[in-house]
Amino acid sequence: MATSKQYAWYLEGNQVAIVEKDVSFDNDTNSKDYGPGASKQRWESPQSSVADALEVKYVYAPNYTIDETEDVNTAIDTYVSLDGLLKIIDQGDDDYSASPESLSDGSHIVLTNAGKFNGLHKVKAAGVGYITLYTKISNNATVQQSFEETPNLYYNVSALEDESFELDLPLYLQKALVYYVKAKLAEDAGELKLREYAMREFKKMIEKHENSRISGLRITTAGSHAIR
Amino acid sequence: MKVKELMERVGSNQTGRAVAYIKDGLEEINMLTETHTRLERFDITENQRFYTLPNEMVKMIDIRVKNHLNSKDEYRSIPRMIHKPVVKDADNI
Repeated sequence: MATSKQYAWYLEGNQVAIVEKDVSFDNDTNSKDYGPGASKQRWESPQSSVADALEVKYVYAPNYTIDETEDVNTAIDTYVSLDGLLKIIDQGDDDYSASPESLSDGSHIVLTNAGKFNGLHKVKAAGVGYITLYTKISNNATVQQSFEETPNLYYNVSALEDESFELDLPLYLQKALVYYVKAKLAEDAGELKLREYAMREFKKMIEKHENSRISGLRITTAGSHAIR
Repeated sequence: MKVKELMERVGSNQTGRAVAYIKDGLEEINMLTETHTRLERFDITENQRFYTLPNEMVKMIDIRVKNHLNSKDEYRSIPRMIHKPVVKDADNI
């Protein structure tokens, strides 16, 4: 049976820091904290390795759609930097320029389960056992680094890059998006009154969309430490 | 709605500029309300404190850890620290 632990997090740039409470007893006679019942209790880096233990739930912008989710490849295992671009490698030597992936310069792929590389990528070149992407990376060019998990590579995707892209948003939010684009175009034209009007409509529609999902009253109560 | 229809509604014929603003708008919408969420799992490694967040992340909703305050392999939300801990990470990894 797994043992109970206590974790906490804080942010450090684009990284999340995970700390674990170390509650191991430390009655060291040479320590100034020595005494009956004295214990060590402090936040430190994780005390043990646990597979799949950290779950991060996040929101992403839908500037792509995965057209067919069964068109997925799970053979990619490592990556390197190739002239500053991300090159993902498959030790099994699948040919990514041939069917079913049929990737070439300008194709798009979506990676999931790939840690910081999650999301949409544009392909520069593909061949036997590799795909070079236009994604910038600062990494070693010779030592291959492994992905922590097995990434899912979706190769049947549509990217937002031309007029034919179908927006993957609820209908009401699509109308809000129209106001956003109007506001930005007005801003470029120096029509600030129109910009303010369109932006206000945009925010109002977002708020109405939020409220439409919650029926009944919204009640806020004072917290336990509030001044009474 | 297709991008083409949106461009007609705003009266623009510049595809590149419209697409750029639509991308900005999709991010802005997801900052204010959540339309698309994803769950990513990482291994916790002994003595490794820092874990890089996905580049596509617009907003973080929750961080959960297995066996946090339970021994039933449940994932539970963990609290954010207001102050950074006293014990620093020596190797900054």
